Amino acid sequence: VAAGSLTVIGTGIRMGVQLTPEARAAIDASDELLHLAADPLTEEWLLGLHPRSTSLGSEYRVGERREEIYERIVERLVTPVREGRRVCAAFYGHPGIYVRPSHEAIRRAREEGYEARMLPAISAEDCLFADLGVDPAATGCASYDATDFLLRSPELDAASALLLWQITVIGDPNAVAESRIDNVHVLVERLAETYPRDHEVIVYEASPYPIAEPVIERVPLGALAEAPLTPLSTLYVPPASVRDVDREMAVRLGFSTD
Amino acid sequence: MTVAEFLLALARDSELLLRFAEEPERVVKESGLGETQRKLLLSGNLRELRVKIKAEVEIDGEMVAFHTVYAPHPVPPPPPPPKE
Repeated sequence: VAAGSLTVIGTGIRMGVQLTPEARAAIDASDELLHLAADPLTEEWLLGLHPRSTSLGSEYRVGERREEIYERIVERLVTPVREGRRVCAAFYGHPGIYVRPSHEAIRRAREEGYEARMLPAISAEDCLFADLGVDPAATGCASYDATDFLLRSPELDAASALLLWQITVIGDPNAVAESRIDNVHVLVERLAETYPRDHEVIVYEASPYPIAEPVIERVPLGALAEAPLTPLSTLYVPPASVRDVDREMAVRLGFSTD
Repeated sequence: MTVAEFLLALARDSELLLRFAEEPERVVKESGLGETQRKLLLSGNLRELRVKIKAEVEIDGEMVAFHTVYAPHPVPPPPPPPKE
């Protein structure tokens, strides 16, 4: 194994209080910290965690394709590894959930013979289940990127919960200066094929500050496009029906049928 | 001290965070922040905090709406038109 290494960590969502001891140790053991946060204040906090700490935020240019931005980030992470340094890369939330460059950087580093690993962290989804008080195990829960969901049109099960991410950049492959909400009505139309328009859905945003409350807006599905969406809004669609138990299977598994 | 600086202090100092959890009004008062800022911090209103922080924190260069780190995988190209 070559000298350089890459450790990818997540900061969690809440600034300063969701960084795991394992992730903190990875920062301390590194030669440099490269990081990406969702807001400028968290960026500032990260700058203070390591004497050689650099934000990756400068890679974002409005109007540029996100794929190109992510490719630059991958190279920003792997280049110092090739030069023999121990790199720690920190992404907000969980570094392996909705983070393309982290997976690709690890793949590329390993392919070139360097040690590379990812440490788990608290994701926005983890915060959502805690803040909304829902357990995905109760009904099952499907989760999609909103654009992917519309493009690939997976079969929906109204008896399961549904999570849709990145609803403010639907259909836009570029980095944007403002939320793109003009395609939210397309999402509403698609969901209305399965759910009643008066079905209550929840617009959610986890709080990045330990003293602030999350944003939780309950609106009828049909009014989603008019809801006050924030750039980091996620849509939670609760189940609209109850799935029956397969009695034949219940008997087969040894459950009572009384 | 600004609202942003107070939030950073909470993130960096777990003892301060603990004290805030126990006695939020006292801790905010000790910070020397003005009444409007204190009310904002105690409200826990994320939308309003974001607006305030945006005004306080200097941002270099152009600001994107948020740092998305995921884009859907490339969409397959449409099939070629049928040959005539």
